[in-house]
Amino acid sequence: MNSNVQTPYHKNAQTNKYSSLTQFSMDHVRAFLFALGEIVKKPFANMLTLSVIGTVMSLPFGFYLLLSNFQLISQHWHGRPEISLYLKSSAPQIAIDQLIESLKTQPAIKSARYISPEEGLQSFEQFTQMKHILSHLSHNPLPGVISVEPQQQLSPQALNALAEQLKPLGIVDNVQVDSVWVKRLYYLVQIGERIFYTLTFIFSIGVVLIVGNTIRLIMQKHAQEILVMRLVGATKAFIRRPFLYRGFFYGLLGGILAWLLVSILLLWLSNPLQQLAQSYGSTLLLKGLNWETGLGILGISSVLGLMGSWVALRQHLKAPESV
Amino acid sequence: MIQFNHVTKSYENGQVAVNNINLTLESGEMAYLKGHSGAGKTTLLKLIMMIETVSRGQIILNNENISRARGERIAYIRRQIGMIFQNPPLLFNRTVFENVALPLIVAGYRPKEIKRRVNAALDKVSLLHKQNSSPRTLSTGEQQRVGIARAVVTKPSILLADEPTGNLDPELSAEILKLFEAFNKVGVTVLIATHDFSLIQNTFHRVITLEGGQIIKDSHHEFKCANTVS
Repeated sequence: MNSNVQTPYHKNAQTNKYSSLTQFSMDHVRAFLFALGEIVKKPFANMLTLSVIGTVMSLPFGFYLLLSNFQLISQHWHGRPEISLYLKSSAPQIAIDQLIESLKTQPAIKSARYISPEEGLQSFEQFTQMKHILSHLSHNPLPGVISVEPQQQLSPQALNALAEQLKPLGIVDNVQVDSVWVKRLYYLVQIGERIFYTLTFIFSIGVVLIVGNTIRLIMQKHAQEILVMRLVGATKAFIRRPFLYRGFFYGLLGGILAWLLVSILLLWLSNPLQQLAQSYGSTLLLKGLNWETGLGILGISSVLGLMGSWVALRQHLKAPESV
Repeated sequence: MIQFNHVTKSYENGQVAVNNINLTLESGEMAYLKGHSGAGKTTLLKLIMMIETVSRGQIILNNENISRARGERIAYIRRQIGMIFQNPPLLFNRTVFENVALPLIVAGYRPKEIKRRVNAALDKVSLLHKQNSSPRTLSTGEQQRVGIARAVVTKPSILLADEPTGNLDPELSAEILKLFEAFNKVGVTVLIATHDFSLIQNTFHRVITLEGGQIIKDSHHEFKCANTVS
């Protein structure tokens, strides 16, 4: 069985081919350029697909930005939640000073500040304009207060635990946690986060399906080419490559579009938001997309595009050739 | 070398296209596969090309049992084979040159070598002057020759042809058969399926007759017998 006959006809069969590594990279470069060319050659048709992907991607990321700004705002405006230790009126000044010192050494506490009854009265008068009512009282009814600022943004549970721990201190009469708004804010942010994750998940699937469907249609258009290539000995990887690159480009360019859309949205919102902040006597700088988040978006959308085309290819290449 | 060992191909609906075939084609041999349409000729070729998979038995191609091949191996097996169809599946949005170059691009040849080989293949089928045309503008006979050029451009060790002269007049048919003989002369194993009995009545090559998916006649054996008698 002389199957590998070396007639002149069969000569040079291997020497004029690329080495396998060169071929591998050549194939990739070719597929890359081909896929890019296909998109550039038909800008209008591809723009439609890209804008759909961009719009879909911009939703979760726009929401993400709003959420992160909201977190930022909440930190700016309210500062950190405070725990107020109302002291017994009989508490001597030395004991108060000692308590403050000991509180400051606790790792969970950032700072502790004493507000004497006189100071309390002053600020009360300032804020409520009930000076004349208070002047009728024979003595200052306000207790001394130690205002404790916890170290970091603690969850409501941790904050309560800290308050519980402070309760049994000797000169402390009552402990009040500024907890209602802390809870509200915390859960609001948590709801926002969960909405973001859900949106991201749903819209990611959307992107995969959009790209998958687009690639499927393109493959139907190129069915004859794919068939011929398979018949002349193209590997599935060879056939897949340009389509995978195309899906990748759809994801990447769609991501760039989403980035652009979100940036425009931010620009559009920044003016009224600043006006709003000013009316609260605060200045606000909207946090835009930083490079890391932006590149993250591009990375995620590229992977989603790749996944989309992979799904479509799997379906198509599984079917046997029909000649 | 092509070898069929008890090969059966049956479909899910119970139809048996190829029934228990034993057949050996040596390297460098040329043979015709004769039979009416529906006799199983095309299926037999498709089994070799791995367009269809065998239901039972095994096919050995150049010492490799291809009935077990899976995945990407199939592509590499196909590179050893040049397949010619009655209606060659050509790409009409590409030039003749690009059509013929496709198997070489797929197999990773260098551009210079691709140009050289495509030119040689097109020259062999006398279509060098049409290399920049679209296959759409070619006649049926010319399209068939483009298909042949594409099949031989990689210098495969096996050439399969399914009704290559089906759409051609006798004169063109004879020309194409001459081409196959030329390839056979340089060592290519050639197997041609045809229902055109007049085409091969005077051939001195081996003729295998198929009917109902079975080999009913093989001139190879007669030839051997004749030889031993004389």
